[in-house]
Amino acid sequence: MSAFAELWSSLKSVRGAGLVDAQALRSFSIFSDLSRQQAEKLNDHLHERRFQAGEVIFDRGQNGHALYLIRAGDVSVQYWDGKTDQEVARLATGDFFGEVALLCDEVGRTAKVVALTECRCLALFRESLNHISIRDPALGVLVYRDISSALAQRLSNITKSIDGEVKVVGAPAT
Amino acid sequence: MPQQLELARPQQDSLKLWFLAGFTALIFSVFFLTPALRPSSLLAIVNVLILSIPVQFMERKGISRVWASLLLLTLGGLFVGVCVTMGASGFGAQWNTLSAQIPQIQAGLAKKAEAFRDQLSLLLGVSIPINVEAQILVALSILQKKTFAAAPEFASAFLGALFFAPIFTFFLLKDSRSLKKLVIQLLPNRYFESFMVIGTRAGATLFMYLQAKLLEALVVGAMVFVGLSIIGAPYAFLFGLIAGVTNVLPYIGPVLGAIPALVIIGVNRDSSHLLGLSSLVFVGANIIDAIYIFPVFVARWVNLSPLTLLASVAVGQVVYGVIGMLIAVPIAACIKIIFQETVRTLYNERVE
Repeated sequence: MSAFAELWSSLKSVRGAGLVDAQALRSFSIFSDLSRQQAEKLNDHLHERRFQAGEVIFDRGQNGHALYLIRAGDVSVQYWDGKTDQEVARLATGDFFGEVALLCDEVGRTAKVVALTECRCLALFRESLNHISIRDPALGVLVYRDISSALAQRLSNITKSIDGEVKVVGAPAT
Repeated sequence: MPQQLELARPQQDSLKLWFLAGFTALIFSVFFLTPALRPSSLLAIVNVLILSIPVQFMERKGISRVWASLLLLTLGGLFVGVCVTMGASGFGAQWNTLSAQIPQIQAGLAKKAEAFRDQLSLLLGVSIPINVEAQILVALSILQKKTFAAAPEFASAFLGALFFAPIFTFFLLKDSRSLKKLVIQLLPNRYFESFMVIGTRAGATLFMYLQAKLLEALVVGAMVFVGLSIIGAPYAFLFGLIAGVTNVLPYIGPVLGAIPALVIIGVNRDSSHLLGLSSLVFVGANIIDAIYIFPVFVARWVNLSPLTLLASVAVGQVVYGVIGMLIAVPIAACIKIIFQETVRTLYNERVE
């Protein structure tokens, strides 16, 4: 897409409706237990981004502030093995990545994430989550619990992988 | 293919950034090149910061953004109208009494000054050939003329703000989300996170600063009003109001707020202990403000050192006068946030 065409597309997309509706937000596995009202509140704090195939969404070591939910498309999670970037997981619609930066202020991005196809992602920022936790502690606790559970599941997968119990792990923490 | 796309991005990103910079420059140039619109614009921004949360709440209850904005503006207008009407009756009565006493105040001021001249003559052993009363009358008449000359400009600015501020507020409230979306859409992906963090923190700082200053003005105004009422000083409500309003200006505000009260009380009453007590009320209110209210509610929320606060207010005054002093602190806080985030990004990139 030419630079002017992309600029025009960005301007046109402003007129489109907001992000996802509450029902669609609850279709993400980590937020499936939110009520409709809670999903609506959370929805106010999400920002949609579009990435083109091959675009680096974020790189290892970068300052990170947000978690991304994949609304559409596929991404590749890559780790640096000292020589090249090795793909360790592929994530698709409904998955999420970038949770480490959401939870830890001082830790930069731990992996590189690249869009494999044209992607639409929803970004949830740490600042927004802090804001939600102050304004609506019940929702804040629920969101933190959901993200922590998913993170614990990923950690458990990695532990099993190290122990040699499973060869293919799920998505690593990003 | 992916490699080609990555190579193509800088061109697309810079076009978006140029468009965004042009758009921002256009908005700022309208603000800076039309002085008549500045008070209305500032007032509208303050209104939007206050009303955006209830508008969001009403939207969640199913009311459209347009209707929510209209409803809140109408309710806000009614509330301000009632407050002004109630305050105006007290203010008006005290203002009329004060206006009627202006000749007495002038005479009192001249008497005090002449007494001071005589004492000084005695002390120095020489006569000072100055007609103090005439000099004071000339000075006051110049001040009066200047005030009258500035009155139409002030009245037009005030009426303009009264008319334009609600209109600006309505359109900003209605379209703020689209504007925000436009800016976010135009941000290249690689700057998206940093910009959002800076924007969110700067917005929160502005909101907290505004809250803190309003609270500070209210508390200082109330303390002066209660203190002056207790000691039996005249025009307690009027002087409390002046102290509250001028307190919005950092550092010189409290002094400006105290001067008219102390001059009028000093020349209007023979009893010097009332002047002493009134001074104590102002000093006490400002000490409480300086020790408790300002550090706890303002400095901590904007997270700036006292030296930075002082320097930013001084620079604001030099660059943009009274409005510069008002907006200097939040702007300094935003610059600090931008600086911190930029340093953090550069440092992290270098470490990696």
